[in-house]
Amino acid sequence: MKSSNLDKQHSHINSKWSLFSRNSFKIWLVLGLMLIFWSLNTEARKKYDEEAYFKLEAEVETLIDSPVTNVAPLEIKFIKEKMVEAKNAKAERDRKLETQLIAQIRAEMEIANLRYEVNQLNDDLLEKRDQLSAAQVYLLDLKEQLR
Amino acid sequence: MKYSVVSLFIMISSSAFAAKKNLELEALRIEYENFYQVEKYKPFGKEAKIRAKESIENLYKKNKKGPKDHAVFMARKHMVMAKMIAEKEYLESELAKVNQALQVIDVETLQVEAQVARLQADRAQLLLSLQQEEVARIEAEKQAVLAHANQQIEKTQAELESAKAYAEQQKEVAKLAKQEADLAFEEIDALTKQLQSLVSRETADGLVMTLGDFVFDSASADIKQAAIENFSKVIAFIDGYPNRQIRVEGHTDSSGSESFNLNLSQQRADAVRLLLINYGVVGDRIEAVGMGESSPVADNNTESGKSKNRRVDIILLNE
Repeated sequence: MKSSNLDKQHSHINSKWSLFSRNSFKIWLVLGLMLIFWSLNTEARKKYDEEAYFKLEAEVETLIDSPVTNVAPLEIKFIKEKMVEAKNAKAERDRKLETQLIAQIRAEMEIANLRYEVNQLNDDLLEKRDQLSAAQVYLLDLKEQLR
Repeated sequence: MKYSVVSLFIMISSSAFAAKKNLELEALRIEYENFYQVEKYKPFGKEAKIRAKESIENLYKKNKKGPKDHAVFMARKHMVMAKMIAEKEYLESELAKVNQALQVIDVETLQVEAQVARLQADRAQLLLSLQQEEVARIEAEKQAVLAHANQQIEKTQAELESAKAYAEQQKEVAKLAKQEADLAFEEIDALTKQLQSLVSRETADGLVMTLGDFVFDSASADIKQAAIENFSKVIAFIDGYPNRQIRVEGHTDSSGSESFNLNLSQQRADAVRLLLINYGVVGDRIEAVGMGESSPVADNNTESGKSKNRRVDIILLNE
């Protein structure tokens, strides 16, 4: 009697935890979901760079010390504000926000640099056009002397 | 009931929020389209444009709740970057064009400068030549002036020498003239004294006044000027006898031929007659006769005798 009960229990357990039982399907489902979450999380972890903020901080400092500051004050102001936010995000371990803020700051830095370059090019172009005008006037003057 | 109101509020809010985001996306898309249409930026910033376009397009593909703020932000920034990169490349292109134009002008300027320099050199050369010619001309003029001045100096010196010589000569002449004058004065004095000392003598023909040969130039019938000017004594003698006829006789010494002496004596007698007429004596009263050497009053063998024989007698004939 006792052994038959045990057998029953055993068979019940076996049937309950067999690979193809209803319960085992749920387990597989949970495991699958966990695997997906783990893989996604790993991917996210792979994209996150712990040192990114510090590298950016150094680059921002260099940028602020450069002549770009005079040309792109709004961008610099924005960068400074976003740096504070990124610092806070890093402190709160909000990696997603930190990553986004870093991307935004980099975009602003690139724009600031582009603004500086465009300004420089504009100045260069004006200067060159002045040179061209002066050269044309000088050439005309020379040609007058030949007449 | 309470839950339904809250959920409705959330739905309205979310739909309003979604509408706002849609507007923002649309504005972004239109801005990109406008930028894409700008002609001058068309060749530039192609990669950045693609990135911006993809960013904006991805915003429309996001989940039903609408794009996230970060994606919108990044899309906007990508568009700004695209604009700036296009502007940058456009400016670089313009700069390259200007640089190229500058190079072309520089080359042309160098060529023209070379031409101008050549022209200036030619002008300078010409000017130099002209200046050299001018200097040569001035030098020649100076030399000519100098030569002329030297000539003038030489001429002046010669003239000076000549003047000195002339002065010396003149001095000599003056000295001689003075001597001559002295002699002439002495002669005139002597002549005057002789004329003043003339006396008449009574002869058979009448009263006779004799003029010595001192009255005439040697071997000539010309009466000396001094004798003419001092003839008053003779005139006074004649005027003392206005009714008498006058005979003027010319005599010579025996030197020379007889005919010569006769002729000379006649000429002297005629000269005295003419002088008397000039002094107012009536010509009819006067007869001039040349006696030659026929009536000597002294010995013709001595000089003093010859001197006495050379004479003109003015005879106031007896009535």
